[in-house]
Amino acid sequence: MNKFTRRRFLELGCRTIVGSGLVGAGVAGGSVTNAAHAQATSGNYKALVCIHLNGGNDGFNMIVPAAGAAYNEYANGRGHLAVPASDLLQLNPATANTTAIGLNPHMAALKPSFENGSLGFQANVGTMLEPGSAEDVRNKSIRLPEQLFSHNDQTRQWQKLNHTHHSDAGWGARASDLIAKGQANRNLTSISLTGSNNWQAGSEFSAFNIDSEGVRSYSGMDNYSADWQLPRREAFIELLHAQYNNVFEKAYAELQTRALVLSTNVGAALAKRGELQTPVPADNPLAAQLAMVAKLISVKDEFSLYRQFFYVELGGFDTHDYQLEKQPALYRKIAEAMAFFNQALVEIGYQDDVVSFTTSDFGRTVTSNGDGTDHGWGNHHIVMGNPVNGGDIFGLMPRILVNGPDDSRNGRIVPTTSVSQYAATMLQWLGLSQNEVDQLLPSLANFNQKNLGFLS
Amino acid sequence: MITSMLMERMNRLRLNNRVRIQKITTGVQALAVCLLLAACSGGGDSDLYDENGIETGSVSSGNKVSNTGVPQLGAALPSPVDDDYAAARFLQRATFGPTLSDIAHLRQLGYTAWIAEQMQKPATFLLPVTREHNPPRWAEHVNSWLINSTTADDQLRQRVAFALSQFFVVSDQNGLGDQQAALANYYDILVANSFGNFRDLMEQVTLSPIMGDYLSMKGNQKPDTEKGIRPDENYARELLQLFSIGLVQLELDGTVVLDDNDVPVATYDQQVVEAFAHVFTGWHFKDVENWNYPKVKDWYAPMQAYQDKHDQGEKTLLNGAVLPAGQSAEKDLEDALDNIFNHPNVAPFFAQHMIRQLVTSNPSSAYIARVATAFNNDGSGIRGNIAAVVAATLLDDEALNGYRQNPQTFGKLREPLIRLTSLWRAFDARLINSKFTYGWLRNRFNQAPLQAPSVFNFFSPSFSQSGVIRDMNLVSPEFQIHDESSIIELTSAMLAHSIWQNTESVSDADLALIDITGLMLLDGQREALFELLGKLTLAKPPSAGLLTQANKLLDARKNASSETRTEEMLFLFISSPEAAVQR
Repeated sequence: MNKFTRRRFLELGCRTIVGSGLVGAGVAGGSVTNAAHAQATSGNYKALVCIHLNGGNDGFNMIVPAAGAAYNEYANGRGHLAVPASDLLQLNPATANTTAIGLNPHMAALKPSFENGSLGFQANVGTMLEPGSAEDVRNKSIRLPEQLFSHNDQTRQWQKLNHTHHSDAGWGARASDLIAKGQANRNLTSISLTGSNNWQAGSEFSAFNIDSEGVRSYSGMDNYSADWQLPRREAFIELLHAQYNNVFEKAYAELQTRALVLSTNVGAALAKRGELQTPVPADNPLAAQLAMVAKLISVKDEFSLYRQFFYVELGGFDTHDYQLEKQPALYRKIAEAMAFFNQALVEIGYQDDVVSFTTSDFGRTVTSNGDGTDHGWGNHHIVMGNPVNGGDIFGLMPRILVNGPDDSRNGRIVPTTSVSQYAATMLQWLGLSQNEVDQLLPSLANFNQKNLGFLS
Repeated sequence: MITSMLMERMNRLRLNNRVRIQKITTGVQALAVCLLLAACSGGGDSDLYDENGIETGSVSSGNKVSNTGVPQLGAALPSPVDDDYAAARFLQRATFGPTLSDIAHLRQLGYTAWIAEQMQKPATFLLPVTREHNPPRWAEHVNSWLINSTTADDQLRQRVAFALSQFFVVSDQNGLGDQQAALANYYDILVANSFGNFRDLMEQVTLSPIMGDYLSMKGNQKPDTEKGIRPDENYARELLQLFSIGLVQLELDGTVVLDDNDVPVATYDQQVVEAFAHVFTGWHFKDVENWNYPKVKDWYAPMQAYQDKHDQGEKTLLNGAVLPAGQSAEKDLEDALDNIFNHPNVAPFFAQHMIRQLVTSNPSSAYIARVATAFNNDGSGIRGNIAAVVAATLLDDEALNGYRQNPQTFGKLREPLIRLTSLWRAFDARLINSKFTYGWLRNRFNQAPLQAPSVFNFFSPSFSQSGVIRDMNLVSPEFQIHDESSIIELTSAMLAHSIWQNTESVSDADLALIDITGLMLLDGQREALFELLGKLTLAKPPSAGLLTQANKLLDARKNASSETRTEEMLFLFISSPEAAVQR
């Protein structure tokens, strides 16, 4: 019998991270009295999936005023970047919006979900600290977010909702610390499929990173029946437990240890599980990540998880140029990946327990720079899942009119819904009390509507 | 063949940029004199920065700053080198990895003379090596970059160029994948200007068609009010935010300036971005025949101005400087780049980048101020002399002694690429260009040259790894590309490169083969072996913990071949947490 079993390996791996949440259900003690926890332990699993469209998605070409004066305003502003009216797929929102709405033809894959009520849109969301009109913005009579139109700052604000300190935790991280307090394996509460991100950063328990191909294995150290590898593996692991004074050495040893446990633990669960039946769209990195999310959700019982936060990302949305060439492919990828994920959730039986939502750096200018658009502000977003009151468009569709009532300047549309309201709606669904949500999102207090109603 | 192409390339650079070359030479010569005469040893006065000089220099007066005194290039003349470990530490910062011969040579010369010698070496360019494969293979520039970074004699220049490539970022990840040679040509702009002037470098970067394509300045045109078209803001915004001054006002020492409400003071607003967007109109490929759908695409020559596409309106730039209406595209561009170059933020912004790239993630503000001061004035009145910035960065007392002054926090996580080149350099890797292929590197290392995911580089300077680093309010940029997934890939690659790729019997000539015969000579002499491995892979003696494990593993392998024992030791050392850190 091999002296160095998987169990021994895990014992070694876990030695340095006891108390960091990877081992032992309920290790994190303390009195748990908050509403979130009380509800969470009642047994229902709930997960949020943040789909980040990196670079600033041009949401104003995603859903478009489909007819009449509203379409003409849009078409005039967009010039040759406008989607032709005849190409738009007509949507029939459950509650009448002021104008007819069309879906971009390259997002056709989302139409069935919209029609069957598991997908909706939240119109014109953006970083706002307090409500205000375009005129208020121009007059600077309201407090404005810092560094509007900068990629990294706006992404950070979207995903942190804590407008002052750059190093503070993301709203996903803060919510996870609150709601998953008594959860075992807390290091699997937040999982990123695309590396570090602001939304999950700064939790008491770092997010786990895995990629869409699954857990990697350590070459030369991953064969537990090979006696030959044993001394090498043992030396390598023992070395991770040495005392390190330098913070970079220490952090590296910790990360390597987490990776070891992940590759062994999660890898084993995923291997046992096998592949999904639902076909994964090819050449679509977002779909590949979402496929791994579905697999991870389906093995969550192995780790006794009842609340999870997933982060996936698709890049390429900074369409300053070649927008007409780039945008259709990007839209198709979003739509096909999300439609696939909806199906995959049905396959694994979690369609009622998972809500997916999009985030992006910012919207883009209504105006064109010749062959693309520049950094804007307000933006339309997608929410998906059975808990979504789908088939509807929530919030106010802005006038897509250059120098119109919603334009701060040169086609940068002022948001009519704040990201805080968008987040609050999801956090309430997740089980946080109104009081907890208020505390978690500092600028929510400045807005009357604390729940946008797209979830129930 | 290579030599003749290199000459051709150098002649071309010279022809294109006669004035620039002259400036570089002057800059390096001035610095070399400064280094050799020990003029730099003067410490003391840290208030050398003349704000008035900078402001009066804005817009029209070029890059000359009134001479305000002797630059501060380190507290004391930091030669000689204490021991081999000190040499190895320095070489971790200044090269792509220490070798035994470099350690010996550095000890012989001392730090300053070594830097002076390096700065005089002829530049090794990337384009000729990239072009050896015609047609280029997938990500050919990655292969040629690995070859140059590992084998080139002008190591300091190569290392600085790599640091610059993470400042003036372009990437093949957003549509430039087929332009391997032109990407190499872009990299050569950085190589050529590694010891040149920041102002010249900024201009050559701005006019590179690769950058023009990457940040869509190429083809940017004046407003067309009828069609509702306004200039593209992409290059204007990122030039300001990432390539020069940053978003918020900085003190000379990098401290963020706050307003009365403790909010950082922005360096510019949207109107300024729009003004610069108007400046950068009217540029396209050289001799382009069709503005919207060019067939003739010269990816090598600097972009050319087309006056009829240039906006000639008045433009209000940084600090209220006004470019009058009616200027040519070239004049607007020159004036606008001067306006940026003379902003007081450039020095601390660039200094922080270079220190974080070469030396340590969390420099003291005094260290930043010293390097920024060298940017503002290299000692001979020249602003923006990158050679002076490099010397100040590497020769600073904090760089040389931080490892013992602040052992807990000094240093940085080493970049994955540099861990690989270090292994190859230390053990004399054979890189056979005809077969050598590492186009896959990015997928396994989360890093490969000119392949950042976006203009924001591989990692953010403010990234802070959760846990002890975040708790102490420190940053650890390189940790952003290390996670539970990539660290396994990296460790596996280390194993493959140390254990499976060191003998002639390995048929994979497409991968690098290292030579461990030197280590094998020490089989049976454990202390000597550990000392040598310490120098080459850790830049310090191994820790007690590493020694314990190394001894145990050697005991376990006592019946194995000496080659196997050596391989195991090499892997254990290079995969250890202490080898992951530059100190």
